[in-house]
Amino acid sequence: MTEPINATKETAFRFDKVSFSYAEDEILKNVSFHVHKGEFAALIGKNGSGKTTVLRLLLGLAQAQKGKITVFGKSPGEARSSIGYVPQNPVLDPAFPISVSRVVSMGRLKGMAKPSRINSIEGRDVLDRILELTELADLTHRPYSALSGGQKRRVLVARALAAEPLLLVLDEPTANMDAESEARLYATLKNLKGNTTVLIVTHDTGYVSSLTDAVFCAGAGDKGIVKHDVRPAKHTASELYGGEALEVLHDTRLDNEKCCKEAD
Amino acid sequence: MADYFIALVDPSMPFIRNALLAGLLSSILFGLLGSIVTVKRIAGLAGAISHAVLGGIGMALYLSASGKVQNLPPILGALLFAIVSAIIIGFVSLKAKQREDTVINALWAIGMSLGVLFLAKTPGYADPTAYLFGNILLVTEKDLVLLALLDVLTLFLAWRYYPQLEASAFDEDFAKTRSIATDHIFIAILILTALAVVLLQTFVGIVMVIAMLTLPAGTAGFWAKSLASMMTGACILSLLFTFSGLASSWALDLPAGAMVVVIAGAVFLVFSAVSAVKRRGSRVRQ
Repeated sequence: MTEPINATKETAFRFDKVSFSYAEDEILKNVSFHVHKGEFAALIGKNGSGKTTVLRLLLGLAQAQKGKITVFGKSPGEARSSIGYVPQNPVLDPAFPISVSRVVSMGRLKGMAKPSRINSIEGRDVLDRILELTELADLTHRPYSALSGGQKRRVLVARALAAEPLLLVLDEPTANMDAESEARLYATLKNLKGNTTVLIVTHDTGYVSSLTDAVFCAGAGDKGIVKHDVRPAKHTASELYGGEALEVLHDTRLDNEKCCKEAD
Repeated sequence: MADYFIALVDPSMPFIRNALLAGLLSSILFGLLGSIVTVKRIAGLAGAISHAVLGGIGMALYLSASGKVQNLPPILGALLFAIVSAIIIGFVSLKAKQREDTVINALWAIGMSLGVLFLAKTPGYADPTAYLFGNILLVTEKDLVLLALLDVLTLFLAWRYYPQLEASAFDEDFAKTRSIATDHIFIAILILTALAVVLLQTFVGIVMVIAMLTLPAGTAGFWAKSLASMMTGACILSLLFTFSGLASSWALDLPAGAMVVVIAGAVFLVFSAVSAVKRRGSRVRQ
């Protein structure tokens, strides 16, 4: 596993003995794991393993029945403004009349307050920088509905980054993306690594990007989350992971608290 | 057509001017609320509210005519049923997502049926057609003042909360992660729609309110590049449909509300056909 560039012993978020059920259907049971500030973490797992539930809990869109979740020392609801979120497949109206720049500027909104964060010179500078970073500067006036699937995904990443988040959460960001779009996305994420904590969720349980510092596997054991070790992959198409891929070693189980003990 | 302009300036026919003013004021509501209802895809909810209103009108007419409550105006009954149905629909949509369509359709049917039952028991003759299909000649100056007030309130809310409105309509889950009060926005839209339905049913009638909340906005949606331009386009189209509907109904001696909706519907269908042909053409070229 690569050494975290800027990881400190401070945690970005922590799940402590969290359980969650939808009615009678238990999704997560006694889940504990954490990610440090500046780390690039991957949450992997098969469909239905509870990955999206972890994200909804992290974003404060769902409430855990048991256990405690902290994000930068606060409750998920209080920390929302620090999180940038890229949803998996949002159900968006394909005929919604909106331009790329308007979609990206939604990331600057904060509650029901007047959106001075968008209209100020500083706000416009941030949006311009994000559009450059995500290579969308030429598409700002295009209708969102006219974009390809890969371009739309990049717009949603830009929208999340427009919030200048401390934690960026991406749910299956490369699903249905072509190789070129995927490479562009990972190039963007590489630029963020170290400064922004990144949690990327994927159903690819075999390999993760070489940017990854920590791999967590949902659905492992009894509806829990397990931290796995990785090693450089030898026979994988690197363009699918934005560079060299890492193979996830499912037969390993790393001590989730070891990093904190070492830091002490 | 010239007769209509002569009637507009005839001092002995103030109801003609009132009708045009009502059309102008209602165009703002049709344009703003219609665009929001269209992009949020809640036309079915607005339809349920507008139809449930007949129950309130019937109840008020019955209570008033039977002497149980003296001089109870139908608009108060309509208001009560509209607000109650908006709150029930809002609660069911937000909290009990299962069977949402069943509850909404039940409210639609129960509201209308209650209206028919109350009207059947109302002493004297009460014509439900006047409420179902509207009569613009019934518009009073008090109605115009209420419409203007609702216009001002809706314009202010749309201007002040436009970014939040746009974000919650585009991607509600993301809007929640930005701490936008999406549930409050949804309930506010339903209540404003309920108030608009109560006031507008005098003009185009209960059945046709829903058509005017969707057709101008749907037509504007064929070329609009933003929610704001959709709202503006829908307001202008509503005004054009209203004016042409009123003038042609005067010239042809036909019901005004129905004429307005038929014109709006015809224009929408023409734009739909042109858009479909264009899409097909661009697919063939590819």
